Amino acid sequence: MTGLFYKELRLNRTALIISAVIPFLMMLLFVLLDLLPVLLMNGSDAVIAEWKEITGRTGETGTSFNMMQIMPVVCAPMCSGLMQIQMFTVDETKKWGCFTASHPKGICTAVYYKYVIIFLTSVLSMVSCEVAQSLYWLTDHIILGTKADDMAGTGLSLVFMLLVFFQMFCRMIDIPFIVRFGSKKGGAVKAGIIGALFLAFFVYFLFGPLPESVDVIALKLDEFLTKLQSGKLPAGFYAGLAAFLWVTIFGTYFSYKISCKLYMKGVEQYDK
Amino acid sequence: MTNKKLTLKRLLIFLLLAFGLAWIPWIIYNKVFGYHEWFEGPLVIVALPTIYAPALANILTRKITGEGWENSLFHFNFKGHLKYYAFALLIPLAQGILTYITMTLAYGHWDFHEMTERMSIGKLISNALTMLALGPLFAWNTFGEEFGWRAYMNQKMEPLLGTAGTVIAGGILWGVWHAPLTVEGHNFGTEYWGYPWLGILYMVLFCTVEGVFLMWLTKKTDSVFPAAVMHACNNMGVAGIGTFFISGVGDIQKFEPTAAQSLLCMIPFAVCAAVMIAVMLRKQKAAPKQV
Repeated sequence: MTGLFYKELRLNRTALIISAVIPFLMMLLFVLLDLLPVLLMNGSDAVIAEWKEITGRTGETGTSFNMMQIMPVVCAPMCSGLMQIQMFTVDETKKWGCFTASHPKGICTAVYYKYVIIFLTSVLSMVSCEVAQSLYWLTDHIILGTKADDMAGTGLSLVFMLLVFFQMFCRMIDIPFIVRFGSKKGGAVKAGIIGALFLAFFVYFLFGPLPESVDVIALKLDEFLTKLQSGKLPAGFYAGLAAFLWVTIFGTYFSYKISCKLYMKGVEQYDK
Repeated sequence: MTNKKLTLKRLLIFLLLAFGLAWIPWIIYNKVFGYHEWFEGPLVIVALPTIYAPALANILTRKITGEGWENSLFHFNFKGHLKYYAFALLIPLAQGILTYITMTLAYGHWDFHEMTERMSIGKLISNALTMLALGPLFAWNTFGEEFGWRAYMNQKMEPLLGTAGTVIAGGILWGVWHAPLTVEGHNFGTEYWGYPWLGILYMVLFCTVEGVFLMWLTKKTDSVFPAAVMHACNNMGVAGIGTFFISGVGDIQKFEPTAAQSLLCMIPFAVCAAVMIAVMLRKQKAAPKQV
């Protein structure tokens, strides 16, 4: 394989491997490092009790989803998001920028492959979440003897797919800034948005109506995920979701076009 | 060894691996765990490598025979070919709409009021848009098959059997490859007249018809990814959007078409596939021969 895509794969292979491996590895390490010592020291009954506690099946009220399943959902976008920003810092030199501009394939092809590698990172992360989910089910089957019928409606595949779009939505906004101003200054835009979100949450926690306990939040989240998977949310939600998905698809295309236009302006401000 | 003999040898090695790497684990898993537990249940992690059997067969055959990676079709080729990616999304949708309209006309009666009472047009559009947007992401799963069937098997078969022969033979092989799963109820359940042979026959016919469009997409784009996307949209149930067009069959929740009825309703889509093949063959004949 040759060409700009090969260059992206070579330079970013660590980031790709990390994104592909982290969600699954976290699940695997947890199973091995938490449950294995319990099994060796206290036997299988202790493992069953420990697994039930971890997966929230000790109380009276049960939920379809638990933190063990949600863990990849939280870790995957954080991890792959960091890797995706890193994919721009490797090229932030004037020499490389000018070389890209002089390349027969041109700026647009180089930027195109950046978007492709970023999308690939999100997809690899999603696949890793799917494998992590499969490992969770296997562990549940081995420890508690869960059967296929018990698993109905407990998958998060839809959420994993939506996370890919969420990541692409974030990237479609911040990549043109990163291309134009560099990853440090461009990252300030993202930092500003995240800061504003934190402020909004902080204000809500200070003055807004709060649930009685964390269990209520967990139950509400579980209810939302169950309804989302089974199509029982209001029709307006699904219409909004469809709009979000297609806005992301077309927005990513326009983001790519804007990045192509801003590329050389960004290169001019790199050091050397 | 002549070119054709070498191509045949590679094809046979590929088929041996594609079938072996899938059938052996499937037969063992079906016996030991039961299909419902390992393919649809908590043991699904063991299913993941087996659905990549055709892709693994491609890779191993190339390594064993020293073929190299020319014509691997492992690139997106978006430039100038975006419309074929759009076709990859729309063909399963068109298939579903055609099939279910045929079902309504053959076994029910057209009642648009009944259709819109069951689901509003707005909800239909938002469901369709959501599935068409998410469908391609499922291609990570179907890439395992397409990288074998379209990116290798078809390329090896075409010089030996021609385009039409590749479609028919490829469809038969692809359909039969699913047999250990079809027999366990993966595609059509187990409670139908003619089980399991009619189910396997239906799968062969379905794969042959689908194979026409998958081959067309692959040849037009010189990439395996549009076929993977179309296959993904199929598996995700994009064709199911066409159930909006079922009416006049009574309680739709209880309406279960028999295998024979489903076969009949596949005819319009099969006709489209036949037209597609005829167009492909005519263009092939009209194309100037390379010296």
